Amino acid sequence: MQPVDSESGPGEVPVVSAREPFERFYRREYRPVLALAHVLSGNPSSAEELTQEAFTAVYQKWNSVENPEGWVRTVVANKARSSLRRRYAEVRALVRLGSAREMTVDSLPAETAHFWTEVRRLPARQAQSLTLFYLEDRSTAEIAAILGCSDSTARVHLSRGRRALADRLGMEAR
Amino acid sequence: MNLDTLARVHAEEARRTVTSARIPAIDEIIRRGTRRRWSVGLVWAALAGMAAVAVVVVGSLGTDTAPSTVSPFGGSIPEPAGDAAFLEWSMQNGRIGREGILEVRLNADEDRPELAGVRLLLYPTLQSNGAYAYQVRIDGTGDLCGFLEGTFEIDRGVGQFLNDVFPAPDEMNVGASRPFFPYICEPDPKPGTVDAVLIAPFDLLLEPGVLTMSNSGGTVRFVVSND
Repeated sequence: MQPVDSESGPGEVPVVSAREPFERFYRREYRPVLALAHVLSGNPSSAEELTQEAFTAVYQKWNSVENPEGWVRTVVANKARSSLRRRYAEVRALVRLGSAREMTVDSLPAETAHFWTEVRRLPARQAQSLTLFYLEDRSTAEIAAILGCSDSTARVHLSRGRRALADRLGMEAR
Repeated sequence: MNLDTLARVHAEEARRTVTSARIPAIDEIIRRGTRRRWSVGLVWAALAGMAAVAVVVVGSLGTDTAPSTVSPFGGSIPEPAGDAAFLEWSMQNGRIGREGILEVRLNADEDRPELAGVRLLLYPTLQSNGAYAYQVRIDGTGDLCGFLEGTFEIDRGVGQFLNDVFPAPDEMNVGASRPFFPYICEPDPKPGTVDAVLIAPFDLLLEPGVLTMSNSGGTVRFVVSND
């Protein structure tokens, strides 16, 4: 179990103690964060690049960042949001592919890829909220902490995102 | 199937794609972090090199020019308020907001001999969002050593300075006790056009080797024009 700050209230993203070794945090969080990056970027190779960049950023601030679990997701969400950064990550990933390194993330099945493509077409905050909610089972408080907004704003993003996505897919929101 | 059910099915599929993903060795992340530090260091070194060249180039322009209270573009330069150091400006090499350099001089007077040769330089660049970012540099000779640089922006058509983009003093290249905070434009500032007036409400209190600014002093104006 990860050490958790006892001051974290219910619904908040748990604060990992700074005493936890970075390596343990990294091994525990790498794949979930990779899945998040995969869905938000839509590209497995970009996802690996974005994920490694995010963990590199966390590593560099390991001693000062209070909530690495939330922060690494914030970094991924922000990096995936910028199409320029995404393309840069893709280029880097292609270079890496050119150096014959193995890609280990599976592609999404067609229907699943289509679903997440529709999610990414939503406004960025709505797409991020929906992804954190469904992919990571995050509460709105946790989503708010990761996106740096209030709980009520996160609820609005989630609600509007749900409605818009349901419209796009021709189904009911609930 | 409703949206919630469908989303959870596809979320599970997405999670499945990474179950066998290789987790890079921790060394790889550490190496990247170290490389990035080096990259950032190299960028800063390159910027510092360019800044040094710019200071030398600008320093070779008009250092013998006597202080003047008449704008070369026809605008009037405001009188210094109280005991505030008085900045005047001149244009070098083109338009403000484009490729030009706006040079703002500290006007030394008899009571402020230490200000002689001290200059405040603004380097504007047009940003992709239409705002203008300025690099501010104060360099000096004699007892005033070091220089201060930072960046502030003027919103397109609004002219509001974004104060908080200045780096903290300890991130600057001078022992400044506080950052440089020019803050507003008037009356209808349009960088690159006529009569954008930038007002910085501070006075400069310069001590040997230390640059200190306060916002309780007089008003200093930079008049920007492309006429």
